[in-house]
This record gives sequence, structure tokens and C-alpha cells, in this order.
Amino acid sequence: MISLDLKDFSLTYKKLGATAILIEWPQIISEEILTDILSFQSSIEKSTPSGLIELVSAYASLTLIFEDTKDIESITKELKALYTARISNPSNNKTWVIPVCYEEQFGIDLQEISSALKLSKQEIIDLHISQSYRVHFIGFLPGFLYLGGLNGKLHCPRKETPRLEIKKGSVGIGGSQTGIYPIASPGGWNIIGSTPIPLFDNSKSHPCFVSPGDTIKFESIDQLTHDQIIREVEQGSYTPKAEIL
Amino acid sequence: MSVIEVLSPGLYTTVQDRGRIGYRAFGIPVSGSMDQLSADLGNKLLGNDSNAPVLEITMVGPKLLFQDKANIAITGADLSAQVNGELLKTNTIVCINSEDVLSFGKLKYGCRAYLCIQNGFDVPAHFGSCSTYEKAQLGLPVLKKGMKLHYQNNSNLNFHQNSRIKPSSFLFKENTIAVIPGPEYNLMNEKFLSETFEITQDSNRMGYRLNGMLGFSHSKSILTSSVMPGTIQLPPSGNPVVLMRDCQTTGGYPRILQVTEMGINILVQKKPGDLIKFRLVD
Repeated sequence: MISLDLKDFSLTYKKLGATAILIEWPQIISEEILTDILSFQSSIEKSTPSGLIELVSAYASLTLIFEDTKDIESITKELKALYTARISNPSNNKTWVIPVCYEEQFGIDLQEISSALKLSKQEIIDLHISQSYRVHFIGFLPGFLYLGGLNGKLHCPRKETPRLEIKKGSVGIGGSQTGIYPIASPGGWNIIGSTPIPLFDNSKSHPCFVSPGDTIKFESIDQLTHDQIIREVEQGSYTPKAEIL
Repeated sequence: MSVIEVLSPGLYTTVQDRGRIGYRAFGIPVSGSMDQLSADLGNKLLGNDSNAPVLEITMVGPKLLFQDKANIAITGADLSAQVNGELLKTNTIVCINSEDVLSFGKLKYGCRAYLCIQNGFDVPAHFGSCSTYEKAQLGLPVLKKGMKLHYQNNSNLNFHQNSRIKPSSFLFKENTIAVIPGPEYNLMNEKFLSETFEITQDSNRMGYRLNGMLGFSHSKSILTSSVMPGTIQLPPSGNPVVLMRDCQTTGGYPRILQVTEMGINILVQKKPGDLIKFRLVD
């Protein structure tokens, strides 16, 4: 299957230390680039270049990490050929519904950003749950999803003084991004709610149920439901809700 | 299974091996021994696999009670290791008897020592590694008083009991760190390579924060992209951060330089207050 819908980008190949190659797309955040990265990644994975131990994708880059020092010229030649021959990644991307409790106990910065953005708390919640968010990659912390698509009305500067600890599951807005803290961490985002479901589970060999290319939707739940889901997660009876696109 | 009881934990003592390979796409750092050369030498002396879990000891050592015999080797920084109060030879195999107490004293050189044990410490693995990564509760927690460490005692030495290594003084005296250009090398001020930097107190397994005399402040950022242990990030403040073994997988500051593997092993033996320079190689 030769796909005609893939646009060829002009890529650059650079060394990142002695054992890694950094492939860069035009440095912008776009779903078209995301799709192209995932397609190239999948064709690299299928061709299994010798000594490749892992691949790390980001907004507009893909890093190949090798066991040993690589000759950049020969590997670049190999990669360029793979890029030309790549095919569109079959879409098995999922849409996940992430329950979030936006009540006062969890949405500790809702009041503050409501004043700053001149929107009521309910308007902020409605805007936050009305969008779909594409997962571009996982980074920064184990299980931290880099999401695109935050409504411009919700863009809001990070807090001047970061908190020393933000609780696991906290949902926040920082600048033009929204995201979920998968584990407790210091952080400067404005916290608007909390999800009871684990985005990172260190007891599983595949610790994140969400993958790059998937889509996230938030669903507002009350505290009773939040606490109920916490219990289900603890008992191991909770399954994240997904719909195949 | 033989047991070691932690009588006191030291400043920051963790179990490390060669780290988690293949999980960066989930945002999981590599971790592993900061000075992989020293950890490796200790494991080699004992005839262990190079991935055998060791204890990484930072500046102030723990006090450990061995409930059984053990063959150990201590490499890396010199923290005046002692058994029952008697100074102990390092960089060689030492036989510990049951009820012996291993402790540490004054830091003579370096920053991190490695306590290696025959067969390695027996620690549950997460994602293919026994390394402690505190933030996500992977591996054993950082050592605490009362904790028990386990190992498989095997008093038959199947290696040369008298083998010794001579630690290269180069590792501990050298203060010029070898670097190669990073992806955003073109954003670096050339004076950076002639500057002397001080290692600040705010330096740990995630990163070494440096202060220089000259200002390298700027206003450039990059779209969040991959970083690796050894990546030198230059935040707008102009004070560089050298990312270390527990570093995040991605970052948004320009990656001006990349420290070589040997450079990382040398740098992690420097402590806050030490002065370093960078030297561009090849």
C-alpha cells in the first residue's frame, strides 16, 4: 500500500551524543507532523536497524538511541531511504475518556484563574471538557502526556512560584498547554482538577495505557464518582474507557 | 538469602545497576550508576555481571551490619571505608565476616563510592532494572535506617582473590570535562568553552547545576525534544545544567553541548563547590 497522503517534510539528521541520532522536522507543533513521525517511527521499528535500543519521539523530532557509537553518515543514508519508502501508519489510534473531578478540593487554582481569565469556574470547566486533545508524546515525567489543542481562551501563565509538590492525578493548565501529573512532582501549572485513574502504573510492563497519536477527552465527575473510581482502581476492577476512532 | 541491616543510611545511598533500557518513550529515565566506570570495575573484580546491582554512596557513607559472610569490593570515591573501625582496602576484594560492621568516614577524594558485592544485591527489578528512581518509586527506596538488603552469599571465590585495580588518579583529579557539540551548538557563545564553572549545591542524580562568572543569559527556547544523560542545557538564566542519569527524557532548553560517557563518569565524582571547565573533543 503506497500512501499518497503523506507529505514529505525536509528532515535534518544530527548527532545527540555518540550513540544517538536526532531527526528533526520543521520545528512547529502540528498533527500532520505527528502523523509523519509516527509513520516513520513504525517503519524504523519494522526494519530494526542493527544496535537500535530505543526510540524517543517529541513534538517535531524522533531520536534513535543505539547500543554503541554510530557512524552518522551511514545511518543517515539508511534512514533517508526508509523515510522515502515509509507508508502511512495504519490508524489504530484510540480516544480515551479521562474522568476529572473539578470540585474545589481538587481544583485549587480554579478561583485564581477564573479571575485572571475573566471566566466563571463553570465556563472554564465547560471549555476544558469540550475539546479533544491529541497526544503528541510522553516525556518530562513517567507517563506525562504532551497534549495539543487547548482552547486559546484557557491559555494562562504558569504560577510565579512553582509548588514543591503537586499531587499525582492533578490536572493543570500551564501557558498554552494542559496536562495531567502522572506522579507527584514539583510544578508551576495552575491546578483545575484531579483524575482518579493512574496515567502511569509501575506494576505493569506497559505502564501507560495511552500512546502517542491517541486522543484524550475529559469528563467532569463529582467527588462521589471520583472516590468510587479510586476504590475500583485499588481493587483492580477499573478499565479506562476507550472508543476506536 | 543473606541479610545486611542498615544501621544508618548515609547522605543518599541507592541501589544502581546499568539502568533501564527501552522505556524512555514512556517518560521513564534511564537511571543507573552515576559513575559507571567505577561500578563496573568493582563488579569485574568480583567476577559479577556488569549489570549486577551495587550500592551507590554519596559523600557520606552508611553504616551496615552484615549478618553473614560476604565478598565485597569498594570502588569510586574514597570515603575512608572501615570494618569494625579498622580502615579497609578499597579497589580490591575484601572478605567480610558475619556480625562485621562496615562504616565510612572522611571523604578523601571523589563524590560517589560503589559498594559491590559478589553476585550483586538481590533487589526486585522494575522495567528490567534494579536501579532506584525515587520519583516514580522504582527499585528499592533510598536507604533508610532499619532497612534490610539481601544478597546470595557464596563463600567460594571463583576468581583471583588477590586481584586489585589501581584507580586512575585521572578520574578524580581531572577537572576538564570532554564535550562534543549538541544539537543547538550554534546558540552557544564561544566564550563558554573558556569559562570556569562552579558546581552548585543544587546538583544531584537528575542534573548538575553550574554557575559561571560570565553571563550567558539569552532568550531562546526550543520546541520540547529529547535529552540524554550528559546533555548540557542552557536555560535563559545562562547558568548551564548538565543532565545526569536520572534526567527527564525531554526538555525545552537549548542543548548546546553533550558530555562524553567518560566525561560523565569524571564529572559525577565532583562535588558542590568544585570548579570545572569544558573541552571540545573531536
